[in-house]
Amino acid sequence: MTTVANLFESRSMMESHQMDFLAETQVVYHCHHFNLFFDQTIDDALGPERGTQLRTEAGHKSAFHLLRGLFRDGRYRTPSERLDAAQTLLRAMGHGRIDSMTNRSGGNATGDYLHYGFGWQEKYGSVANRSHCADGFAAGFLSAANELAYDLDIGSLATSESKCIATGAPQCAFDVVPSRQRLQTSNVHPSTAEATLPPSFDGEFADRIGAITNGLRGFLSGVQGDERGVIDAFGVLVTLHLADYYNHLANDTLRIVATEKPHAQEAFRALLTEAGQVCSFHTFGGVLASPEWDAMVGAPSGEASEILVGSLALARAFGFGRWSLEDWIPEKRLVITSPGTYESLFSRLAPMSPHRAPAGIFPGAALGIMALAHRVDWANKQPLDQELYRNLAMNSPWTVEETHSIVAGDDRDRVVVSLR
Amino acid sequence: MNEAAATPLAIDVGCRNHMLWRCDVTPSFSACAVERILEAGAKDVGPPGIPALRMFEHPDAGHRIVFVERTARVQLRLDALTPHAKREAAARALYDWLVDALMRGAS
Repeated sequence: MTTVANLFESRSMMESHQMDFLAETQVVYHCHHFNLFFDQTIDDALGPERGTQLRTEAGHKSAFHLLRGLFRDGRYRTPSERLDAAQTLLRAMGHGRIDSMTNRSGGNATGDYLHYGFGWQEKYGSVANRSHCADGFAAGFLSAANELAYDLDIGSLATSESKCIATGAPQCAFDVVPSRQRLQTSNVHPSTAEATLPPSFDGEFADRIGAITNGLRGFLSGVQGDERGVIDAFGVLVTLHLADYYNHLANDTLRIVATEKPHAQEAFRALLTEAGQVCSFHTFGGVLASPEWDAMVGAPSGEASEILVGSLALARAFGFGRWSLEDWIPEKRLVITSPGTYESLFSRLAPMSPHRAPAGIFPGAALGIMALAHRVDWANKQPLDQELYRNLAMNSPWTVEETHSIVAGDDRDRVVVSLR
Repeated sequence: MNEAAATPLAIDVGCRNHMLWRCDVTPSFSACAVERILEAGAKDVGPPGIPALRMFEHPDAGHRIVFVERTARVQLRLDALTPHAKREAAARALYDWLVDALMRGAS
C-alpha cells in the first residue's frame, strides 16, 4: 500500500543553498495567489487556448521528471501501483484528488479540489466568471502518470480538461488520449545543482534568519495534504509544487512572445515580477500573520527588521534559495542576495537560448518584502486583503533592479530595491 | 454575571475572504482552555513541530480552532470548502461553541 511517508522518503535538501528535492526533482512551496497569478500571466500573454496548452505541457514535462524519479527504485511496479502512488503524491502535495480510469491507450479521469480550479473558485468565484478550464498542471500530471504507469515514452499520451469547477462544473473531468507530442525537457537534478551553483554565503542577521528557517523547516516537514488533497498550514492555501513547472512555463512562453509578439516582452517580464510581489505579499504576509508564526517566532510587533528577517527565512524554508540580506536602509534601500534561486538555477542549466525568462520571484518578492516591512500596520493587525495589495502595488515608491545573476556568470543573484 | 471567556469575534488577518476569524481567551480561562475544548469533544490534531501551538478540530463541522498557549490567541480556521456565503455564520456558530466549551464548569 502506498503511504505518504513512503513517497516523502525521496525528499532531500541542499542545505547550503536552501533548495529542496522530491524524487530528485526540485520543489518549492507556493500558495494559490501566486499560482493563479502566474498561470493568468501565461494566459494573458498567449490567450486562453494556447496558454492552457503550455500550462498542460509544463505540467506534463515537470511531472514526468518527478514520477520517473519516484518509480526508479522499483518499489512501484504495476500500472495500478504506479497510478495509486502518483495520485497519493498529488494529494500529499496539496494539489487535490484525481481518480484515473485509464489503460495504456488512455481513458478518463475526474478531479476534486484540484488546486487551480478550487483556488480560482476561492479567490474569484464570487466576483467573476471563467470560461476556460484552470487545471493545466493536473492534466499534464495525468499524462505523465499514465505514461509512466504503462512504461510509455513522454509525449505518448495527451490530456485535456473537459470540465472544470472554475467554469461552474461540479467536478473536474479529463480525457486522456494517445498522442505523438514532442516534448523537450530540461530539468534540474540535485547533482547538477551541486555542480552548477556558486559557493554559498550569508549576510546580515544570519543567525536569526538561520534559526527561524530551521524552525519553519521542522514544521513544514510534517505538512501534507489531507484526504482531499488540501493543505492546511498557516491559514494559506499552499502547495508543494514543482519548480520546473514555473520554469518551463516562463521560458516556453517567453520564447513564443519574443518570436510572435516582441513588443509584449517587457510587459510579460513585468508581470513575472509582479507575480513575485503577489507571492511575498500574500504568502509571506499570510504566514507572518498566522498563529503558527505567533507560536514559533512571536507576532510581528511592527518593527521592520522583524519582517525582513522573517521573510528571508520564509523564502529559504520554501526552497526558493539561500536569500540573504546584504544591505538595508529603512524606507530607502534593500539589497537581497542569493547563491542562486530556483529560477536562476534552471536558466543557468537550460540550453543556451536568447529567450531565457528573467528572474521574477526574486525581484518581485524583494519589492513585496519592502512593502510588508514599511507599509503594513502589523501592530494593529491590518487586513492583508486585495484592496491593500492593489494600493501598495500601485503607489509603491520603490523600484527594483537585478544587478547580478548567476545566469550571466556572476557569483550570486542580487536585487536592489531603491526609491524611484 | 460571569466574566466573558473570550474577546468578541473579529475577522483575523489573512488572505482568504472570511476564512480566518480571531478572538483571545481571557486570562482566567486560558489555563483551562485546552482541557475544556477537548472535553467538549474537539479532536486534537497537532500540529507536530510547534510545541506552543495547539490545534483542534470541531467534532462535527471539521473547522479548526488554533490556540497559541503563550498568548491565548485563538484563530478559528474554517474548513477549506466552506462556501463564501456561509462563512460568517459558520464562524459565529464555532465561536459560540468555543465560548460554551470554555464556560462549561465555570461557576
